[in-house]
Amino acid sequence: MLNDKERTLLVKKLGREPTAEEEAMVEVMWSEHISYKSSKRHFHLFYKDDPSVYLGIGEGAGLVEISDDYLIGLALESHNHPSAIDPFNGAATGVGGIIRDIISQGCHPIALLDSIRFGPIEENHSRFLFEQVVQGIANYGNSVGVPTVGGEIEFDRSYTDNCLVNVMCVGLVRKSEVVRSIARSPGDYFVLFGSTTGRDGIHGVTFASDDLADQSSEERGSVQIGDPLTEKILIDVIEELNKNKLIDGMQDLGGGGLTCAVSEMCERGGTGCEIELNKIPLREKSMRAWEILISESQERMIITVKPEKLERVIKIIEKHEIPFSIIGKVTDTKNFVAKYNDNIVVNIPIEVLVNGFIEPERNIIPVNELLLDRQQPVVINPNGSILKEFEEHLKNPNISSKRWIYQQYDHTVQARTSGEPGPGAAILHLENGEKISLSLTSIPYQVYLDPFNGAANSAMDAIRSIVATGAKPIALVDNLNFGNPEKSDAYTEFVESIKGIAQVTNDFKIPVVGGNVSLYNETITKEKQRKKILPTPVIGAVGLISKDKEPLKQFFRKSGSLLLMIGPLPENLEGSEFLRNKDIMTGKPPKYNPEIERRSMKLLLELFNKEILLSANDIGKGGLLKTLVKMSLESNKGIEFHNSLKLLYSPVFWFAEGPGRYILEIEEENMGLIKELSENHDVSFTIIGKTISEGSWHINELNVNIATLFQWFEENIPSWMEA
Amino acid sequence: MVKAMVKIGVLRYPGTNNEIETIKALRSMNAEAILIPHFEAEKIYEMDGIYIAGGFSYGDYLRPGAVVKTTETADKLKEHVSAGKPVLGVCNGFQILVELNLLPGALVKNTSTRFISKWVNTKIVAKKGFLSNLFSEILYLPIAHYSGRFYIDDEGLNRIITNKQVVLQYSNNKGEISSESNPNGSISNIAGVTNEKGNVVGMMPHPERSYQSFHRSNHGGKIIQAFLEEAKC
Repeated sequence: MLNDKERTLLVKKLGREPTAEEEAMVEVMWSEHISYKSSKRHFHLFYKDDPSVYLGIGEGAGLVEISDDYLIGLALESHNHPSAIDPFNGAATGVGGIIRDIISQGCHPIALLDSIRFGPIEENHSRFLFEQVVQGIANYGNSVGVPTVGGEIEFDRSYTDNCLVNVMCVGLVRKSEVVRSIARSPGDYFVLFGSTTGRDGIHGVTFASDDLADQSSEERGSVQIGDPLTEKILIDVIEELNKNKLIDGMQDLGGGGLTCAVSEMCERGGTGCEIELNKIPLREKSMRAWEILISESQERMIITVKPEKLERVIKIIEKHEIPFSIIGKVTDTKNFVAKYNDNIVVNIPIEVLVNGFIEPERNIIPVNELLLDRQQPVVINPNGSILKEFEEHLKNPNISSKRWIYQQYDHTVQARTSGEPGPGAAILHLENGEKISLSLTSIPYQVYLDPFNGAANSAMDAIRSIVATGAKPIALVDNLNFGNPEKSDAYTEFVESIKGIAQVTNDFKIPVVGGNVSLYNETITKEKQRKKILPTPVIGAVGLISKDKEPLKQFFRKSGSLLLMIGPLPENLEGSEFLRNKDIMTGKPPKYNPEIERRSMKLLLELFNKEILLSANDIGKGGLLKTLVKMSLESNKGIEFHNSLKLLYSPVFWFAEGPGRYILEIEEENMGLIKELSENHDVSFTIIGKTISEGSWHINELNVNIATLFQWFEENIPSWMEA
Repeated sequence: MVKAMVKIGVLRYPGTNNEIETIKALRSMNAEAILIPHFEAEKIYEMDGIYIAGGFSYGDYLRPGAVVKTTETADKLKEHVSAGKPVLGVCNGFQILVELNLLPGALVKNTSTRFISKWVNTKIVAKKGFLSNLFSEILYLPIAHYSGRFYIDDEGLNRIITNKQVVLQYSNNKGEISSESNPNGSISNIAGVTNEKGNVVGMMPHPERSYQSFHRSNHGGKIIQAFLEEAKC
């Protein structure tokens, strides 16, 4: 609903009372989800205008140059609220929606990554949501034929009532085949095709712009239903139309439906539109005009077509046997005009719809005030033996293997991936011999304890993961999941996080090319307490690996090679997943340190270019233990730890998280060169030990069989989910 | 030696989604690969061989592969087969061939009732048909399916064994065939079968995802090569 102030403004702008249809449209367009009215004002902080950026923030997908001919498309979006209500369909349509954002720009979708968060795995309802979300993603992605190649999952009690489902899609397009979401030329036709229009998803965006209330089960009607078969046909149709140069402009019908797609296309083109609502193919009887205008039925695309090309367009769409309709024309009025049963029911300036919203006042509080309670000193009670800690850590479902999930996702379709997801960032091999590396991550616990540094560390975590494959980072996308922006604590977390991410993008000159904001991820409990999610800025990073190089593997390649840890050992455990898992909700996470990050990154990439790395992996969330376990299990090789290491029984050594750290596997004979280069780059390193063919870890007098590590690491999630 | 390139038609129904990489793989092995959408069924007549690509044709409505029976491609495929020309059906392509009764058995839901996407070892056991030159090779290949469990009744199983129609079985990396190496509950670990004549092969693993140097294995390339050799004859 529009508030009084908004309604008064609308009447003033129109010089009359709005029609019911206009009011419904404005309500959708001015919602937080579409207008970004609480967030847009901060986007100038991001580094955006890199020469490699072909199309930045603002349309369906960002486009980044990877070669003379090719661009990759990037999009990342949340489907949190729908997934909380109807997890299967919510997640499935999240996948469908983000794929359409990618195909809107003429791209072929080549990869999906998912970032999903739920309450503790011990809770029945969390497992239900988890199971259904995974099924929804699998069902849709597998059916459309886009591989799901990576992502992350986290369980924390802050997500019990507000699960998060963020999906990233990557596309590939030749420069000559890029399509823009612009209605440029008056006289062009609007052609709508894909699924028919029904009542599903009506008010989806306004629902996503509010707290989840107790009546959630009654809001199921706001959740759309996905149809991946139609989506695949859309891909086939669009590629045929586009190859024949028949599309002038294109946008998918997502949040806000027809209203949003058409008005945004016209706004970008400085044009207007005249739409005949009776021409829209409906799946339900007696839909009213306003319902048709804002329905969020899935799998619908709208294109603008030059009159002389209309016949060929129709022929191609008819051949593929999907519903379509010529629903109107681009005009020069700069107004959105819609007719229904020969009456004009909408005649409203595009400018009012797209940019007419009021920027609400939002309050922040001083950071030290926000963090006063959160940064209290940490008291840790040791759990006993280091092996006991190993077991607990590897069984933590936030750390343990995600095999149960990714074996349900088709990750080999399209034949661009090399292996299975798991040990590191995903790698895709593209048509032109280029290779890209992809990761998607967040460290919400650190963001909660310190939004600026936590968000910057989250971005670095994503970046380190692609650097460990030998890739140079080329672009970021972000999905900012936060609480109610009308509350100063949630809004302060939000603003500080943006600043943290922005700092990284400016320090490293990695442009942000797209993303999404999801606010209002909080609920009021029966005791009238606010319960909000940990602030969760999810970062997707993309890197490019030179044509003449093979990507680095993230697991041991040989026995008898040396293992080095580069970068400084953190001072303490604060901000680590190790402590979050012990319910310690205070502490100061490691400070973002661009210098240390940069030096380590440069050293690694130089060693990669000189081809003296056997393998590498980053040390991120979960610390050293997780990194070594992944490298060891994937290769079925053990480790002889260096006896002189004093820290072998210290939790900090195994579990702490801090900036600029990687594990490198090298031949012993290259040690001299490494010493020299690390001095040049001013990077500290520690020799951890040696890889061995025997399947165990020797830590001084301790021997751990890797079969035991495997059991701890692999079995927890399946044991919950297959019970 | 100048020789006309072998022409392979890659079928695409609405919902098929492996056609692009299949065409790419065939072209990399010097075949002339031609996309045949369901509305251009007559093109089947011009082909030396047909590769039915995987995916979810018609959204798996009714049963995987079932709706294809009602399309124009069904009769044309049967004519192609009667003429002795080869057909390779992968994943949904295998399901389609079974539904068209061009291959024996049925493909039902995995015993886990989950989609399974992973790399598995398989063993070529073909004693007839175009895979028999690869007999006893162990191939490491990706599977990705929800309904990949091969089923046939006892009588049928005896018949296809007697007729040497089993061509591919799930195994371990030594080629031993046991229940531990059975990913989806297929009867007798069967991953692929052929028809009595040996010119139609269906399999659940995806050779077109396993032929380049960067793939986890390039063993799938051998299967595609064997198919192309047959199509050249």
